[in-house]
Amino acid sequence: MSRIRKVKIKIDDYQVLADPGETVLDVCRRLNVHIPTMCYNPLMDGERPGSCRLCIVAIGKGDRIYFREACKTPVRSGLEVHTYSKEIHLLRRDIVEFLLARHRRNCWDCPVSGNCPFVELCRDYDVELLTVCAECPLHGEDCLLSKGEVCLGPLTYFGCGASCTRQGQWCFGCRGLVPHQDIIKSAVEVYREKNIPLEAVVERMELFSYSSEVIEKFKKFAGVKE
Amino acid sequence: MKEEKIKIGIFGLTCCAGEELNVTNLEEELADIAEIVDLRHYLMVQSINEFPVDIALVAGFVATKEDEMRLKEIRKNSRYLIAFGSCASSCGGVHGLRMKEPLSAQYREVYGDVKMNGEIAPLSEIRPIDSYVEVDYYIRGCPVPEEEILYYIFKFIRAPPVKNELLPVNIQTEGYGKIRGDAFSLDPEKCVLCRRCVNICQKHIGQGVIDFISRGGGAKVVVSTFFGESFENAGCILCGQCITSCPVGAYQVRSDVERVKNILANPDNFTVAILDPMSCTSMMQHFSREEDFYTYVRRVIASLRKIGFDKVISFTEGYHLSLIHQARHIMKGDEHEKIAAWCPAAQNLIKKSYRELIRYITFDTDPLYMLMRILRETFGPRAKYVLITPCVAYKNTDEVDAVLTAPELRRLLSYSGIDVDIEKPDRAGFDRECFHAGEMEIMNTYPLGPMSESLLWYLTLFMREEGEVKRIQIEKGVEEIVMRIGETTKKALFITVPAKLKKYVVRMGDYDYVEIVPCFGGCAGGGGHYPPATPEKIEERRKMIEKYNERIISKLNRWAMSRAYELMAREGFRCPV
Repeated sequence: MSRIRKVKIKIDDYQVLADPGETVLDVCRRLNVHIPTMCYNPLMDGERPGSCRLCIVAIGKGDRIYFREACKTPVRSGLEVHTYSKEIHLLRRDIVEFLLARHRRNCWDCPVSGNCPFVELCRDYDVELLTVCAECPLHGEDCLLSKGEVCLGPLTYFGCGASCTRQGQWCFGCRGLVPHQDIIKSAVEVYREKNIPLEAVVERMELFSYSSEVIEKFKKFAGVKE
Repeated sequence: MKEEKIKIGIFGLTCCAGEELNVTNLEEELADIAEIVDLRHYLMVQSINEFPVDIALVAGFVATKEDEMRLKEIRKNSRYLIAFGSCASSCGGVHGLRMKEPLSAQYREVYGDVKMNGEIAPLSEIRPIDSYVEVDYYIRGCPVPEEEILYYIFKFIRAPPVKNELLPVNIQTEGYGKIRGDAFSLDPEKCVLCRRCVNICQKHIGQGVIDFISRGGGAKVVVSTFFGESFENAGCILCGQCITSCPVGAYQVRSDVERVKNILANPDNFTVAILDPMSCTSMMQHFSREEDFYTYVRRVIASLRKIGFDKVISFTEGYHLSLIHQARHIMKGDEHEKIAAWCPAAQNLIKKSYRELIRYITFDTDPLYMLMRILRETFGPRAKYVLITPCVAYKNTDEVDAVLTAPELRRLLSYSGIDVDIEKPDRAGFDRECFHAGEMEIMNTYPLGPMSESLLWYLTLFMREEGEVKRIQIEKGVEEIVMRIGETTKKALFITVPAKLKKYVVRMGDYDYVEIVPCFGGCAGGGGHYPPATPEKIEERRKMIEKYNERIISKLNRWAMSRAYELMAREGFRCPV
């Protein structure tokens, strides 16, 4: 009876035994080492497109370090893997930003909002390009804006888990407003679409961020006069 | 050598001190935190405070000259300075409102003619703290939730804060064409090209309806059907697995909410809701409610009655009728009645790609068709029917007037101002208007699929013998099931990866019964649930259903159902195709 010989690898300086044929991602999942993924579908375990590149890890030691996707890298003996470092953090941050740039963020019409994987990624990698709407599970005609409430969700920084809007309370904007052109533009569009007076929105915005640059930009895009 | 602990200081400038207080509210975790970090500076809690610190959490805003000097001192003595809370991170927070009126008028109203000089005199202008000193990181919130404080403390222990800057991202929103279909559509502008849906459609379903298509010399790649055809024309079987697998919600199901509203608005209409309790599972999950699923279904029934449905019927009855009918076919050993039609997506698959198998489908076992036959006779031909189901493939049916998925049902209810979560549970439950049981157990979650112990139960009922089931796995996604009832043996094929059906087409004659389930985890992973689906979520839904079944399962119901079937059989069945 022949026994399958295990492969010795190092993950974050710990000696680990792995089966030949496994990938680095498999080993890390087994050991509960967190590696973010987006294109990897847990429903279809065998098929890995490797197209989002979020699972990149540092392979090698000393001067010879390469960044590879964990889901496509098979284990071999003597492999040294580092799953987290400053470079990896910065690379993954860029990747999240590129993925977001490709994506149109109209969360108020999206059935995934409340469950969106971008929320966790943006929080972990410090990308502040999402709003409360991405965390709010209400969408479509369920959305507070559709009911005529002046909600600041489309403009406010995410991260609170939308604790107010989940309870049916409109967003106060207590976390501050996102000073990003596209977010302000799309917010103006959605307020117009849902027939919400833009002057009322400006009034609510002043409560928590009176001297913010966002208010001026918002007024410029919306054409609101003093 | 022992590692040095990370030194943390918590500071408050002018503010309500809510953030500082909120750290002390972490009572249970404070002891654990104190083991890992060294709290060097925390005026609210301890009397001995020292500089320097590694990480300084600064709450509040700069109101006086004294504050400015303190802030600069903190900056000098810390490696990382973090704006903590809303006042520090967003331009003064509520205090910014002070700039609405001139300072002198406000000052006079509070202090009268008293003069203040030097460091404690208030500044006339409020600026964010990052205009005084360099800020490395922002933690937002008013107040910052306790879980978030914990999250950031552990994040900084793992790695020092990376500087927070916004990169200018300019999105070029060029209009890619929407791919349309009768049941659902795809918006390529929302897509992030992750390839999940393409993989499922090509390798799991085996249809290959969608693929990456480049336009303009390969510069722009979009997910699309070939030549931008509608989904139905491109060979889609409407299983909806692309909808549940999409992490960003680029697929959208056709909304029937308006249609249902119009039906309900007319008071002359007699309206009947056919509810599959399965579709309530993901609704309960998405809004993270922890309660008994049985009561939650009662809440949904109560709210359906409230918005004006005259009758609420359980769709599980239809499934059991077709189960009995299929059991009859298996018992007789019919040559051409092998593939049950209770999965509309599997029906579509055979109609579109396996024409040679069409003669094996028992079209008369379609659960919706069987149930509607009874309902039409009970409520008359002019009643309006609305089906609520987790299945997207039913969107194209002609049997009912409208089909709602779980998100649509929630939207319909909230439009009428009804919150399911606080609705009082309906005591009576489903209507028992027809001559049968009213509520049956949901059987499309069992690990065997609908080919379950209930089918065996009915078989043993008709053949009056004891029975047992044996499962043999042929390959991944294909199982052979041997049912032994008394002295007779029946063989069945159970396919959960439709792409593998191709191999077994020629061996169809060996089996008495064939079952194809395109969705992951059966109907618990259907396309009409709240996306995105994960194995854990589907497993949780399955457990919810199992508990639900334990409460209502009874042999009496099954006896009543088989009697109903016999009454139907007396009239004679007609095939819809």
